[in-house]
Amino acid sequence: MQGLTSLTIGDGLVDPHELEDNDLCPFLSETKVSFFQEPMDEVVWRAVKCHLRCMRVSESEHAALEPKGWMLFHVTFYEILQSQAGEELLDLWPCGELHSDRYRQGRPRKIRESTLTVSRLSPLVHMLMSCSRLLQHLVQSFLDQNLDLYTGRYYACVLTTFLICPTPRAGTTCPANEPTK
Amino acid sequence: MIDEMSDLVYGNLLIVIGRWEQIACYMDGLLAEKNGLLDPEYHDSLLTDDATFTRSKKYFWAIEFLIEAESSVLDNINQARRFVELMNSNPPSEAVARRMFVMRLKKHNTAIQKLEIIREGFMKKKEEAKALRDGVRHDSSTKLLC
Repeated sequence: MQGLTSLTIGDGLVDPHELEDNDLCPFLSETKVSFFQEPMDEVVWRAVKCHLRCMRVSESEHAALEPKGWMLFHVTFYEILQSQAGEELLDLWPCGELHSDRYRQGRPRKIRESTLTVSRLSPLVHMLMSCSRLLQHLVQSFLDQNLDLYTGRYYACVLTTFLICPTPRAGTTCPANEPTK
Repeated sequence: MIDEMSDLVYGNLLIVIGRWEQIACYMDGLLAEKNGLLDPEYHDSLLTDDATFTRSKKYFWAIEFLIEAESSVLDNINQARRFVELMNSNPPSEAVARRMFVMRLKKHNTAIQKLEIIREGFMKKKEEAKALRDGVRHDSSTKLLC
């Protein structure tokens, strides 16, 4: 649910506005010519953009998707997060302090606007399985629970978990991308 | 074909509803001035604010956030309704599959009802925060009245 849009800040400071979608999701950008075909590119990138930037999908965007047979379920919501000690995270999604929370015991919590995106994209899951060991594990866990999806004609892909895998620039590391042992 | 995606959407929608319920619980705590009803002295103190506007700032933030939250939940409801419409336009032909389909539709509609209740709760809470804000007088204005 959290998505993989939280980057651990290393020595260098990174301005989230400087990060482009291509930087955040290089797998899709680097394979779009070789693998994805129009209009899938358009659909994927629309979903990725809305997901990474925590934007709502407009009626006109839905109207543009539906005639092509692509399905996108996308919502934004707010959630309260427990602060983690000793780790500075750069959140791409809007995130800030929870009002008046400093007066309670424990570390002040945060409040963040988050996104859930589910899209129906056909061959994407297969490709993502070779993307990284973590993704492979996640996708396999998903498929284990949803075998009918794996064997069916269509695959639903939870972008929060599988598709959005920001690769950090120099000076940042993405905890979710660290190799599994 | 949409049934598989439906389960995924429904499962995650429940998680989103859980997050909204946590927010609602937090707002209840933030604006829990009704506890002061049994403590007249404390309740009287709600009419005044300190020099740094602590109480006014809290109510101001709560009102702004509740406006945004209500708008966001409304968008969730619209997205869920759109998805249900999409499901309705693709009903399965087999009898067994249709039974499952009806059950799925029912679950989605229940989730939408929950979101509507959450939205109504935010709207009521916003009115409560406005009433509290309007009742607050800053120290300096209180002195002037005296």
